[in-house]
Amino acid sequence: MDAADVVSQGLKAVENNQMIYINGWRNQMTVRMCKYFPEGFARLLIK
Amino acid sequence: MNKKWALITGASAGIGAEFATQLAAKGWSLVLVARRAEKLTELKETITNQHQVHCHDLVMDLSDVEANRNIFDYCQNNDIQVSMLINNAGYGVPGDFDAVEWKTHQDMLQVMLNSLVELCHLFFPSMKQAQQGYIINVASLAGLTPPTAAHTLYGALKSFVIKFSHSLHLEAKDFSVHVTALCPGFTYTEFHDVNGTRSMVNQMSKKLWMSASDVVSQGLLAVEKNQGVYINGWRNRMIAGMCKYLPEGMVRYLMKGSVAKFRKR
Repeated sequence: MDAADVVSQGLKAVENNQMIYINGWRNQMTVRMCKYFPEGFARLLIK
Repeated sequence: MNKKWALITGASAGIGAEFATQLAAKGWSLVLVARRAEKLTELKETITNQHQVHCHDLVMDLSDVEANRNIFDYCQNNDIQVSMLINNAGYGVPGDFDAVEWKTHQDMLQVMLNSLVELCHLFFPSMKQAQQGYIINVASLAGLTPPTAAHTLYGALKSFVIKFSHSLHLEAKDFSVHVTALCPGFTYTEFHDVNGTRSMVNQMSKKLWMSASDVVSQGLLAVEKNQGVYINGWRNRMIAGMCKYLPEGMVRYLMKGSVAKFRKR
């Protein structure tokens, strides 16, 4: 992602008082994968 | 006399003192580090009377930035090859973030974060070289549950300890050095007396509490088996699992009532 997108999304997130904001749907998907998949499996995929 | 050395911080009471007692019973010689000289001397005497091990007591305040280097130098000067490092020192500070003085936060960060990392950095290389060693970083279930208002740094620091230990665990396993983040839940120690939340936590169900003895024996087994993160007790593992898999908002809602019983504002 470019810095401009990261920053504009970040400013919107703080405006909406979002406690945690992950930039970009791909990153959001990665985080969800890490949360719900078994840790060993997630580590294997990230490796 | 056995010459396997374990270094324990926060050794004067609670989980630290229990680590000292159980390791001495297994024949480990000890370097005990804590602030309270009287309690430390008392523990040293008890241990040396009961077990045939060496025991050094170092009165140090880990909030002093020089303390870690002094501990390391002391070991070097006394020809002590530390094979087990137990970073246990820690405490909770009740209250809202801005209601607590910066010096208090700063000391807490030094003791529970900088000191822990620096001691690993100082002692890990010799363990790696010897292709043998154990590091236990005492974290907490609080590092795996959603954050709460008040006690602002505690959960964040414990999350750091878990993540850091897990990374070091992955780095160290190729060198036969075992690293474990130990995550106890409510444990019968003086922790809550010191931070003034005893009357509040006494309202928690007794089923959630574990003895320091169980926490430590399970922790020693976990580091022996080289488990990166170990959560003490099936109830705590269930809570951690629930926090991982349920939506965060739901977990926070479920925890709301019980958190008010132990998070003093």
